[in-house]
Amino acid sequence: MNNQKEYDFLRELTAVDDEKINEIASKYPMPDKSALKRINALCEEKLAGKENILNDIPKEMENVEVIRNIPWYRRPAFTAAACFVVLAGVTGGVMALFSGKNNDINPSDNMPPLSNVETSDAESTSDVTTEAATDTTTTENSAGTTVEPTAEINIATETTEQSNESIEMPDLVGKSYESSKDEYKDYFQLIVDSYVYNDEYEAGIIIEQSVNAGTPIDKGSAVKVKVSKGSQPENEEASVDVPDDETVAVITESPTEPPTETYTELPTEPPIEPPTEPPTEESENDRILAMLKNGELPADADMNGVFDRTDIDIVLYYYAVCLMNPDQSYKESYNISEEVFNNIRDNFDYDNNGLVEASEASILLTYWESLNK
Amino acid sequence: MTDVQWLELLEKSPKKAHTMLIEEYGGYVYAVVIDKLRGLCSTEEIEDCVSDIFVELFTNIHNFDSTKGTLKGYISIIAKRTAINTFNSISYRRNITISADDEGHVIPATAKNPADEVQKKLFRQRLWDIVESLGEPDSSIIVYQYFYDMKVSDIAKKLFMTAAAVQKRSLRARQRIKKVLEKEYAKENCYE
Repeated sequence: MNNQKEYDFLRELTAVDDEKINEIASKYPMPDKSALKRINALCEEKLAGKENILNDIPKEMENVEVIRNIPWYRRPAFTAAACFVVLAGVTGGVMALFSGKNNDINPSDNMPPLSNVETSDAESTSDVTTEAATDTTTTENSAGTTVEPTAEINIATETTEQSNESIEMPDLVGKSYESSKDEYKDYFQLIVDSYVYNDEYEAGIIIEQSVNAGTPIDKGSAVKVKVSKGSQPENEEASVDVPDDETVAVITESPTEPPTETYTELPTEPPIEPPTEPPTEESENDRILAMLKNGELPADADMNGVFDRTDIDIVLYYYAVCLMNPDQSYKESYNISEEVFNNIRDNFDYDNNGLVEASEASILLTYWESLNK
Repeated sequence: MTDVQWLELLEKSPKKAHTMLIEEYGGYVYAVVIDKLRGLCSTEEIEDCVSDIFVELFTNIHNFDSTKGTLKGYISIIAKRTAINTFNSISYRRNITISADDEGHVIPATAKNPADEVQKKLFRQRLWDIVESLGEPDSSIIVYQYFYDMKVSDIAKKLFMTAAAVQKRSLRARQRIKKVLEKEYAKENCYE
């Protein structure tokens, strides 16, 4: 089993000088475009944080010296306090004047009732000019009463900022639908247009997006995506983007088209609904088996180029040693080479639960049995 | 683009320059980082380190003097220093320390044998030559597997192949490299 040590000399490929690193970077470029975008975004985030710090500190430091040379009555704190006192006085005066005006109401000028007006309606307008009282608690009393035509009060309310931010549409093709949905939930809403069979992408991976990557979109808008159902099983006819629940519902409920015409357009076989519930253990095993058969998952645990019973034994051995050693790190005392150990750890976690367990060995056994019937 | 042009662009439109610099030197910085942090960090941590390097570069770009050296050299220095710092901090966080009392721990020799060093260097050079002579996609598979320490499944995604195909090709490529090296070694021994 230790035959993999014969390739340990390849570890020398990691001992490189600067010149070689440069050459490798240009010949075998590593981070793809999406990774570079992620790095760029991270940089912007970190730089934004740094700018805030840089902008805050020097201003304060500059002001320290300046403030020391200013007499107390001209210092910003004193000015701010004085402004506050003056403003409070003026506001009090206006309020007193207003309450005085309200007492001098003229019964001839009718005022429309305001009891149904919600505060939020008033707040959403940027600048409201009204002849009525602003306080909704007083509207009941003042409804149906009159206000002097001259008692015009301008109310400037705070504007509620509409989120008109636009963001650049990221490239979601090749990414998991579930994770993308969570990742971008604050920016836009991902909606599944349809689930389709696709040989290139695994089930649950986005294969198409309605908005092209790089296009600016409004924050909060909806983006439709097509999600892969994995490769088509052999026993099913190659067709057809299977419509999802919503599409079927729309077709069947459409009142404009007669149902007979609608059904003629549908495939003769009932459409397979996309899995809305979490996949059962059996279906998950079938999916993994299908992927093993298609060569999408590796089966050769000992990396000797052949898939045989030894591979299953080695995976079981790995499982056994990891029971004793949960951090899944290699130890010299193991009966398998480090390369094989790492290979199993990295590539044989078929159900992506973070561990290579007996279930993986069991699937491998089923696969081996299917090959050796 | 020359270094002076980079500096001009950084002054005129820093944001555009930042994006372009990451596109231009991202691969190089990534290779430097992976050389220092191989096997220790996840992809996310490596990307985080790469972004740290560029942040360091952008905030200290005013210190760069094009008369004293190249921009790439400047980036290289920042990249190495930051990668080593990251290595130290991650090692400290994970409490990775090697005790000299540990069984099997060998204290490295203080003085290197120059003859051995030269021989090793020649061997590495020859190894790289053989890897590059394998042709695509085998060369890429070996480099991504050994230099970039990537998983078979990730290599498969990158090279648009199945994982099983990558694994098979990798095995055959390694066998070929070994055969070539064995042949050469046999020849050398014959002459000796």
